[in-house]
Amino acid sequence: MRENFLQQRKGVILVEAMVALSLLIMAMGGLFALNLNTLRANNTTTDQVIATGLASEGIELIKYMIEQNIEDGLDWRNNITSNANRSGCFQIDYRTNHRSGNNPLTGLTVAADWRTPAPNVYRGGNCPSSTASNNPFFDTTRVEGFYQPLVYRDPGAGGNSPGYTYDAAGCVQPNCTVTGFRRMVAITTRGGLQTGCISSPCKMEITSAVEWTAAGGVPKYIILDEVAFDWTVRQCQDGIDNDGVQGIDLADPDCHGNPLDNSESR
Amino acid sequence: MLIFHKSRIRNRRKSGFTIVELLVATSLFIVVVTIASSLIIAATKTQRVILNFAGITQNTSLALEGMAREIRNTSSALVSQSSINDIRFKVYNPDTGNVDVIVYSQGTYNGISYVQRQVNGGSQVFITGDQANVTRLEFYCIDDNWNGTFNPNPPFSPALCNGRPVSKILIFMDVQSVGDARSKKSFQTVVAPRH
Repeated sequence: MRENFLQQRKGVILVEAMVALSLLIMAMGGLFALNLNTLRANNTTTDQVIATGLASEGIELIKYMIEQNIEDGLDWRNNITSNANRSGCFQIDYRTNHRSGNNPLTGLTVAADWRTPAPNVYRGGNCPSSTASNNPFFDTTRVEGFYQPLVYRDPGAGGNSPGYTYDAAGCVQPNCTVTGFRRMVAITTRGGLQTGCISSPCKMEITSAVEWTAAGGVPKYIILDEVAFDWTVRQCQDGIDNDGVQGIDLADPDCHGNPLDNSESR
Repeated sequence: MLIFHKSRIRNRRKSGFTIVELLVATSLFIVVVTIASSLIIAATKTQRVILNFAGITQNTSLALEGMAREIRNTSSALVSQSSINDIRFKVYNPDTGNVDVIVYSQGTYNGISYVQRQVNGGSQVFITGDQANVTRLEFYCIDDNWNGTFNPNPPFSPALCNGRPVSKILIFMDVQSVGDARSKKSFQTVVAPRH
């Protein structure tokens, strides 16, 4: 009896130990997986900060183009939207300078399917991936087929186009990486019925979106919106007698009492 | 004799089982402890990496956001630099009615680099914490005559902001956690000061 008992007991100890061991490993494994997931989530958060910086860059670049146009006395939409009611999708980076002729519009590529937008699509106008939803990155496959990924060149390594640009020429590791970030800047122009709007359109909706793929193949995006207005100073409000006759601004009957009229001439 | 014989057999068997049991128990214990401790070590390491990432994210987003907002509110002709690693500009302060001179630059303390902010020549205040080592902070003033080449040393290209109207300011910021170069993340944004 005693021998049998001891032999049985030995077996029980082994089984018990193995069960305990596997339970422990399972429990630790769960904990470990949780940790890895948190790490992944944190990585995504860091990528979100990078993407936010890149998305706000897109908006700043378009807003600066508007400022340049107004300062130069051009139509405020010059080089941004070519036609009064047209909208567009852009790839734009900091190298773009449409005023000096240096680097003329590098990186600013008018979308191949530059079409008349559907009138009621809020975001993106005729952007290739926004047809089914307000989300410009509704269709990831189309985004990745259409927009070039941004390229990152280490600024410390010397050379031109440092940082995040579309300059993919000669991009090799380790100083240059093709990143997973794709940026779309969508412009939708509005007008006609806006108060104080004499030219149509006088309002521009700028949407800058950055898409990337997070760990586990999950598509992520950051979307920033901005509304820009035409703040061109008109002839009938600039304090100058532009045509040299009949008085300044509204004193000139050719302004017809409207400060937004852009002609003091008859 | 019979009794002795029985007891000898029992004793021998008992001691034999104890050794086997001991061996099995010890080896199992070693296996369990090895697995458990390696998991704990790995988990602790991951935890540290997670905290480091959180530190990088918080500090960078605060610094980048703060700098961009202030630079956006300056007039582009009021921006100047002594090198690409600093930027000086004037901002109207609605509280005092005066124009404040703000300088952002890279400062180092105890081997860690920070983004520092200075108002009207006062003391430098770090706006990033010691969880984030800011290994790069560069400002490029791009104006309309820039020819597309980069040179971070004299003669600078694009030229340093020197009170001339600049169109856009390109900010590069590389941040890593202290002592871990692999955690380096590169941030970039562009700010166009209002004219």
